[in-house]
Amino acid sequence: MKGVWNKVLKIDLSTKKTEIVPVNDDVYKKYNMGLGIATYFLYKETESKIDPLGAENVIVFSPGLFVGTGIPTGSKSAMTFKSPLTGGFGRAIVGAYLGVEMRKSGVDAIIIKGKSDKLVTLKIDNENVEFIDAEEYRGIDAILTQDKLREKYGKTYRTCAIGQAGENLSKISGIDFEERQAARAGGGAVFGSKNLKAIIMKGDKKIDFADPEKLKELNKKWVNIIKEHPATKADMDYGSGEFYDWMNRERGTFPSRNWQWGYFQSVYDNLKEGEKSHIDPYYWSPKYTVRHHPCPTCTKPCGRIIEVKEGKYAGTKVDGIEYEVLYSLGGVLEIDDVEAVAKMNEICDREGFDAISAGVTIAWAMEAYEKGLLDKDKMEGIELTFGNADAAIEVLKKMAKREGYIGELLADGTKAAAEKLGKNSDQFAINIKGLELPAYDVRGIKGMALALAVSIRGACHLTAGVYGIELGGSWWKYKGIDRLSSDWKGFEVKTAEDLATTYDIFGLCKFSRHMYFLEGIPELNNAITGDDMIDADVMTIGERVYNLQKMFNIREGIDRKYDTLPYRVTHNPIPKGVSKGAYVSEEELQHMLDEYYMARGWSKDSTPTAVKLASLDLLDIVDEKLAAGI
Amino acid sequence: MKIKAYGILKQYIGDKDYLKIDVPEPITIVELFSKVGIPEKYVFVVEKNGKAITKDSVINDNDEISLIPFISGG
Ligand code: SF4
Repeated sequence: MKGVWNKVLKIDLSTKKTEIVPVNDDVYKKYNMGLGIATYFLYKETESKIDPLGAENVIVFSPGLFVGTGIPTGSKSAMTFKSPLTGGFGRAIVGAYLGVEMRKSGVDAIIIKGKSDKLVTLKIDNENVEFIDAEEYRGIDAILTQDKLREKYGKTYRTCAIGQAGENLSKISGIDFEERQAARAGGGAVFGSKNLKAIIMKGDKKIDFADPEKLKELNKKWVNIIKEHPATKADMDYGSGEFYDWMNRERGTFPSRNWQWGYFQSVYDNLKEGEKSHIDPYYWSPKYTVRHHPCPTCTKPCGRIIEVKEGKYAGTKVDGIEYEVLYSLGGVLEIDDVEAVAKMNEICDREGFDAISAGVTIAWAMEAYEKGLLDKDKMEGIELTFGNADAAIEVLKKMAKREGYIGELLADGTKAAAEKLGKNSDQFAINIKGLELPAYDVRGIKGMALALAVSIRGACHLTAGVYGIELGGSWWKYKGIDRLSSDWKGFEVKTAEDLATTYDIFGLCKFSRHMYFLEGIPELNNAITGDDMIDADVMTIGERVYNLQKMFNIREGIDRKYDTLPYRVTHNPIPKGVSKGAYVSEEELQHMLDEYYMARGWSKDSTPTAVKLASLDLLDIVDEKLAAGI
Repeated sequence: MKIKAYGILKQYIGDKDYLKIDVPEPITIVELFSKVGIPEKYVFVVEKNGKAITKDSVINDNDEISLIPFISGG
């Protein structure tokens, strides 16, 4: 097959041995690249019940097929591992320049296992690996580490690294790729557990495309379509938080104060007519943006570097602030000082935290503190009340070092913290399968509630990404969707998951899925590989990869019992705003789960049936004994 | 008629929380766009009194209209 190298690189950190493994065309036809082969190799290379922080866990990294081809927004690479946070399938998608180097390196994925005896950096030139001592970077933040590595080895290397949070095995830590993060599900701790501090990579080969002229022509076409698309200007000027004010005011589904509210009303309290609240990108983006910060080959960059030049947080410079962070380090902490949010965002990126999980964990602690559940004598004078940004900043720093009572309590996220504290504090711990919820108050977006409940990696908004469909009522082929109804959500979520999975396989950014939809993908694939895929083939690959991820969880015993919603979502209605009174009852959740499993061809306990696995040609990798009957 | 607009559409109603205009005769949404000077291609969803409607729907002076742009998401 053209456009791939038919090889992967295996690296054993224990023995310091590497191996080039040939991969035949059939594997690419079934799984393609990116999340596809990253799922395939993770499933193959791991046994069930392994310790996620043990040498036997595996990290697979693969760029999507479109990465390094010039396709606009073909930017994303996939990392898979067994998640120390959820105990199930771990996945993180990132706009990585390192992925572009890998596309030029002669291998389609790297598979890392074992554990180094000392902190190590992997230096990879094409297929050649050097194991370099990284002790000098211990305790150094993730971004500075990469700066230093590029200074030492040359700017042509593209990089990733973990910060202190990963080194200290925080289960909510991620990996930084030049200020873009593979953040969710605890990949930073998996790096840390292997004593892997950083990877630097350079490739100098040329990918052999099936039809380079056609690819050039298609790239030009898509650059124009994206340029003319009505969403592009807003995305570029204001970033992913562009729709925040609408979410808050017009939908009442912007969770705040640790999900006590779905409407952050107080941000408007002292505003005059026409004034914007301070966490609204329409307020802060023109004021603080220094430059755009695109992922590779993105022609509609939503990413920006912002800088705070004056005041208490002067000197703060960060890639942000994403919509999710306006919530996790703003809304749920009841903080609307955007400069403080920027500061916390910077700390999360440098220390190597998943900014969603870290913020939501502090929100849990603020509620516990205000309820008098935390041991005040051990708080070292920190008044951890809602709205107190300086307290949140201090606590974040302690979490990265696991320092003191509060740092240790919070370092592994809300699930672990609530288990340690007890006192019914799990009733306001906002996670599913251990992963903290993103910025959608799903009490008022019921299809999204189902999507988060069933998502393989825990509460992930992008596994299905039905927020646009639900909140707008229509999108692509979907019409007439009622966000407050719990009926007919199963098929909606299932198809959206399959489609979103294809984006992670081909490496397309999901913020361009209202441009490429499904129909844009096959001809791009065909120009690269020489294949003759049609739309339905693309969806089948998405469905196949999704089912294999699900089988990873089933192999771990993660079934229907784990497809839950936080207590707050099922018991505490949204108290004010447009969605006042909305919540998802336990009956509604069970009804949506039944519908969803039926749409998927899974059993009542959520296990894929043997018939479904056979129809997706998965029984060569999945043990049929794990499948359900019909 | 009260018109609310969000995101990038807000600039077309003078960057205010809402715009009030007189609509003596019922008009369609498309006619409203040209009356106020809103480029149709930027509008993804139109709502009348909180419910989604099509762009050829007819609206009256006492309706509240919300204009929602495309959402890329977070
Ligand atoms: S739209 Fe944003 S997230 Fe997507 S590729 Fe471009 S910069 Fe990256």
